[in-house]
Amino acid sequence: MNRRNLLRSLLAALLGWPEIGSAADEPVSVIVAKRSKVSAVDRDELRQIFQTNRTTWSQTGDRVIPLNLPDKNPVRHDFDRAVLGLDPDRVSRYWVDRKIRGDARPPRTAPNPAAVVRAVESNPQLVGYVPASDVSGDVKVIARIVDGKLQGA
Amino acid sequence: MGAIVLGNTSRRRLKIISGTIVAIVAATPAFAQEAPPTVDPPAPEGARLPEAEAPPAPAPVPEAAAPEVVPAPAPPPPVPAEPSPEVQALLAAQQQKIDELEARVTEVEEQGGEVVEDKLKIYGFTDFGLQRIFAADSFSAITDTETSFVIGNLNVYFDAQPIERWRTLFEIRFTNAPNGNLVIGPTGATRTSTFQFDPHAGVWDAPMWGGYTVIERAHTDYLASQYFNVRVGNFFTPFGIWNVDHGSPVLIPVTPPQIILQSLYPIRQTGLQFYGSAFAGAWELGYALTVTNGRQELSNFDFDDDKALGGRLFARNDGDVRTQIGLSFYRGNAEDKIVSFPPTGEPTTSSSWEYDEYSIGADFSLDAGGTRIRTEALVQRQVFEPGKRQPAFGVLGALVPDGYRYSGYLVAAQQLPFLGLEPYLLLEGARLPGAVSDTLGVLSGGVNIHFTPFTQLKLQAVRVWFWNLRDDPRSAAGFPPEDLNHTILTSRLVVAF
Repeated sequence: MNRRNLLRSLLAALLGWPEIGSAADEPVSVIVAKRSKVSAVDRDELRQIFQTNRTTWSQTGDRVIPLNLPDKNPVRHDFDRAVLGLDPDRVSRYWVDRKIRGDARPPRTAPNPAAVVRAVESNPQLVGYVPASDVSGDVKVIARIVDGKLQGA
Repeated sequence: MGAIVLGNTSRRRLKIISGTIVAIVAATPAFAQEAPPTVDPPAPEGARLPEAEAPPAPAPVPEAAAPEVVPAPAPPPPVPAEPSPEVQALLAAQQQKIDELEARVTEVEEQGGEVVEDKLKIYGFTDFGLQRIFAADSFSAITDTETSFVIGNLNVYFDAQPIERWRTLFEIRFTNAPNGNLVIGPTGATRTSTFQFDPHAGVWDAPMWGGYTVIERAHTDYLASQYFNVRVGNFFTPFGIWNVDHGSPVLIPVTPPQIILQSLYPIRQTGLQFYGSAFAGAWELGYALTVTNGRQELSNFDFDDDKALGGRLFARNDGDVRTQIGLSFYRGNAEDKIVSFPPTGEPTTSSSWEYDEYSIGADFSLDAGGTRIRTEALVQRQVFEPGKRQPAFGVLGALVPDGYRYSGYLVAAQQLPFLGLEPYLLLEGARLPGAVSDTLGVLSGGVNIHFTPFTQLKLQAVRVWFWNLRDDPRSAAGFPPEDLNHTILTSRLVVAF
């Protein structure tokens, strides 16, 4: 670690900033149904979707419904760090705050990656994320999280 | 990770495969027992096939024919041959594989496979605390300053979304009020008590004390689109930061700012709200527009046809550095309604006070890692109808003048990387022309201890100063504004659920 990175990490720890770009064990794929017209998504839009602030795709104008993994799932942690920029504690606080304010509900939760794939492939409004090895032939990948960073498909 | 999903069909297949493997191995000469011809060899349990896959069973022998069968005397059972080491190893390997597959099937089945969302969600927050106010005797006479444990908020949310685009949210607060409320009259103050004998207790003298349930909000939303949604009912006025954050788990300090305490706009209103947003890159540009009955301190009903209008525009970036800038406004008319029944003729209605009000405010919030900053400021213009001014607080016979009222605050908090500590500082100023003083200032500091994302202890010290900066002898009150200065020590243990 060079001096600049060391300084950044120390500052991040002191100010409570999340460690963006923490390495995941396996790439995470952001998926939609094969018949969805959406082909790509950037981090801002994906964040807005998973914060339930955005309800339509910018590319098509179609309705979008985010699908989360359970909050204890390590893939969820990788996704939240890479897309929301929040560690698990801050994600929990974020949703507590949203609930108390009376804001829109948090995304629905699928119990496991296989359930995400099954739900997404059957509903073109859904967007989810799963480990890359769980992607089946009936969904398409519109973005990937590699080494803690969102990349295009 | 690569979880597999196996349903009943897959489990049956697995059993068939495992059963077949074991059956084949069991049928090898080195393993099979030599059994008497009239007795079927006992099959291992795992070799049983599901009914659909089982070979046709031999026709049962009718019961009447049973006595005619004379079984031959069974020869002594032979000593079973010992399976070869290769077969034993194969069996063990297969059994291990079967056990692993069974375990994965069980794991996946336990996880379930469906995406289910509750149509009705119940959640809320509670806070309890200890507080003490240090003040002059004249101030202590009109409030409770002693060290006291307090029940803060017991708020429960009922959040129903029976179908995709319709949502109803209502929030109920349970409280002991008005029990213990201090009612100040012209000659002194008395306490309100809700004591009564419990009529349902089975005895005549069981004590009970009632309390309010406060409808904090109750509205139904039609979620039409990203750009346009409709809210109908009773909602918090979308104005600034504090009134939207609303609950103790979200708010940084315990004590509310003057904007809320003085109701410089209505805290909540009944009517319609239209809201929506659009996006420009990382920024969300949103609006809210309200058409309501206006202030509802006296009644949720409107006493005239002059509807109140309000609105809010905001730009929000919920990225790594969460930032929000907002502008809010409100225009309404407030009055009371007195009905008189003269001895002759029709009943008449009138008002003893009536005013128009205009509020405009600006706010800014920032969340950068562990740093939280909130600030908002507003100006309110209050114009009374001629001859219909409200009585002013603090001086008998004084009336509230027309005028501008200003208020603003700044809160800055920093989450430290240890023990969940979040110290903060609050600065506040307000210019609120009244009979006793016209200006106040607040300096406050505190620390929030976040035990978990759902629980925190809030500790706060507050110093409040009152001044009269007017150079106007008519503003001289019966007691100096300094008598209102006070210090508050307060705490709340907050739980969100």
